[in-house]
Amino acid sequence: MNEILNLKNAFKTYGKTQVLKDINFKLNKSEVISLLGDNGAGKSTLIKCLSGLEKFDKAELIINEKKVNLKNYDIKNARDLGFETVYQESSVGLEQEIFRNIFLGREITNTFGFINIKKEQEVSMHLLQNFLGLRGVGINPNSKVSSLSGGERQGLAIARAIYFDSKVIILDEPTTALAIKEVGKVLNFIKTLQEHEKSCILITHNISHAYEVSNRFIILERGEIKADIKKDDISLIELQSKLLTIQNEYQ
Amino acid sequence: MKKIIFLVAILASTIFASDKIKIYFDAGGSVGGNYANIVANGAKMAAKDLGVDLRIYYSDWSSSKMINNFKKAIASNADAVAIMGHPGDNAFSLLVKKAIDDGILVTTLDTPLPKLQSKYTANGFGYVGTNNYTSGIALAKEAVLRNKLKKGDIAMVWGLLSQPTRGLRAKGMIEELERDGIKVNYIEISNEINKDPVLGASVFTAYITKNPKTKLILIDHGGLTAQMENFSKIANISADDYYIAGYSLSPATIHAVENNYVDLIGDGQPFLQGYLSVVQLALSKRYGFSGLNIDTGAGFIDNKNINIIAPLAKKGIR
Amino acid sequence: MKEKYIYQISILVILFVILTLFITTVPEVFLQSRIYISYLSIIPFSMILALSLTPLIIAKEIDLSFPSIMAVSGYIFAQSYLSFDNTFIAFFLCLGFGFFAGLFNGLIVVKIGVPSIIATIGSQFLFRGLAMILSGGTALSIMEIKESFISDLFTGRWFGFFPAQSFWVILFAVLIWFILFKHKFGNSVLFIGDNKKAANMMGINTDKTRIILFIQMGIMSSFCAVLLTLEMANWWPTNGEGYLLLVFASIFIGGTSVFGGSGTIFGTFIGAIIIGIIESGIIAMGLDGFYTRFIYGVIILIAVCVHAKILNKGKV
Repeated sequence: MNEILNLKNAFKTYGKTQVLKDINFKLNKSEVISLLGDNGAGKSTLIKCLSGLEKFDKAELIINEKKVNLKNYDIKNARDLGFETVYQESSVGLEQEIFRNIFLGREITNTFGFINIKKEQEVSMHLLQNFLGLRGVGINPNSKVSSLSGGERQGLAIARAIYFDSKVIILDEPTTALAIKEVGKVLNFIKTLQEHEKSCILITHNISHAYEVSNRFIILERGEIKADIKKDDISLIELQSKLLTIQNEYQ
Repeated sequence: MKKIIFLVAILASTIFASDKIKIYFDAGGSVGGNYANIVANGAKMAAKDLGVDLRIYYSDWSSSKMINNFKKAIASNADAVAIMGHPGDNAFSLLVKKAIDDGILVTTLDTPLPKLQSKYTANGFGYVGTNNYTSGIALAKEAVLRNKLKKGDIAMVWGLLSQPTRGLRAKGMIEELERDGIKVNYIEISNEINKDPVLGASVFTAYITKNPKTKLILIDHGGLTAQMENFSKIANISADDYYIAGYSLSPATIHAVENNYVDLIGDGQPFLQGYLSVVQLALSKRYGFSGLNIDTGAGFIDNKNINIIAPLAKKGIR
Repeated sequence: MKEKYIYQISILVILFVILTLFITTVPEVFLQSRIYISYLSIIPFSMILALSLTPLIIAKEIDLSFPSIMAVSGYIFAQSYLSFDNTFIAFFLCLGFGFFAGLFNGLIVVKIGVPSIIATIGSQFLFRGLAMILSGGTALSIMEIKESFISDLFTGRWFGFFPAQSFWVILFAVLIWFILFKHKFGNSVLFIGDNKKAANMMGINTDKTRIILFIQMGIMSSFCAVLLTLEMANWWPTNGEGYLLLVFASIFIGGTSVFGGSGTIFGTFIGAIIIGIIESGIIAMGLDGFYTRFIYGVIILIAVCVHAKILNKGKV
């Protein structure tokens, strides 16, 4: 019961281009894996298919040891199964209050659909203090998200996923375009995921960020998995040179 | 056998059609405008009576559209064109010269083109309509007379002075009232109220509350005239408090006249403008008559003759 | 949240300043109830439209076709009243048209993907044309409808003086405020205007929500046409055309952002009052009507500048 996701023989083409070729990988509970690889290696496509935004041409997807019917697999379906994707900058509404962002699409309502704003604010306050660690800095559930820093916005999206009990959180380039101080915050949020027994798939260009927080690395190139390495088996420098070697082979 | 009859019918109609005089006609306003509609109805009836091939176009009261439509009419081999005079003599002079040189008859309606008329009367250039300026004077004069206004009385004029030719009517009203020593309060009709007269209610209320001694209210706008009964009710004034005069017959105006909220209507008789323009063009084309100058603006409607006129208004004739 | 209140207070201050100016310069008009009764009769029309359009603007959409929807709806209302002599049939046929007109706009924008500003410029011509074709351009008078129950209900004078339409517009304002800020539908609207991609990602049906907004606008335009036709007992072909600018001015004076994602119902409400009283105030002050536009411009610019200033302050 340790295995949370098992993807077998996944294929995907865009027109004539084969983007994903026979992808096989597993994800365990409380595991953080990084998807590494060059632009166009197929990382984004894999993520989009896993989060239900796009469909695999052919694949077998087993979540919690149950086979998923891929025909009906969409964003909502993925979220119901516990997959939540956090996209850089695009997962929050900047002009809206923090509590609205946390409960977007999953509002606490009465039978007529009216929101229990007080309840939402209480939960949001709790998340802000305990997960984001924002105490007494003038940030409250009624603040606009635009008053949070870039790292805190990512944190908010991650906190949201944790609160709604997502099993797998997919992070798409969470540290790109952030100041160094902010990167530290985001990496800390990722580390706390394991404490909450969540799994995480991380997409990043930054190998050192990936190395800091991940348990396992999957290197994609030209739509194929070229390596699947545990962190215990490799150092950061070895990982870097391995990545370079694989990329050079294809140039 | 059927086929032959059918063929003959087509042949006859084409021969007949080619024989018909082709007249292009500017109804002035927009499709659906009350006034343009009545003008067009008049023109259509004349076309039917005389067997004229009539093409009506609409210019939304825009001078540039009137010119463009005229250009198109010339380009489509019209025999004769009835234009709206709003763009003025200068704007039309070259185009009219070209048309008449090409043997196309031209006449104007609603607004006169005095220079062109004097130059081309012999070529069949005429005018049917009211003169905005004189009809403004006429309505003001009639209202002063019927209301027995004296020097120093106060009158309100609600008009469109800022519009070039259209504004002449309000100008005529104001000048006539001032000649009689009456103090005039002029209010310009805003663009919004021009389109949605309802919006004028609070302006009217504000004016009346501020100037309760006003005796005469002249309204140079058909839509607003139609709303005067409603406005009076909103402002909580009774039918006899003010003498209200305006233009254009619409169902609501008829109702307001019947209930004494509106006391006098100046009628430009637009149906006649449409009808007579087509008649004059057709006759000039056939028999070479010179242009006619006809003033249709002498009509007044009050609660004495409204019974006869109301049913005709529903038919789009008055 | 705080800056929002500052803004709402500032718009209230603008209204207060204008009213004070009117009361001190022309007390004989503005200390009498008559002028306020006339405001209560007239302002609800543009206010209903502005309130209804506000959520669309917040969702970063626009509808320029509502004046034309009003024209057709008003025609349908008046003509079916004349034909069937039944106000309820007339009422529902009219609102039915509003529903379909809104659905039509919504489908073109959402399903075909035409930007709403372009789509509704097109449909505005279409509906206006329809009104012309249906009516043949002649005005309709329905004076008898003043005696009907529906006329008392929507535009009667309650207690002998209070125009019923004012009650309905206030009710509508409260309702739309609750839906926008307290209901999950409103939540979707706010996020669609702010970040449509995020809303999509979080499982909001952005297509459906936007179509509903257009339908809502269509129905409320029709409802406004009913009120207008009842109040004036009249329908005429240019019905609605004068409201376009007034409605947009009310919304933007009120503080709803043209960039979407934020807006205020209270602001639109006060904005509509400001826009509704200016012209008559200017006339009462004895100024020329020519000043109206100039002063509209001044007030709109002041309000929009205050708004921008507060917005920028809120940003880190």
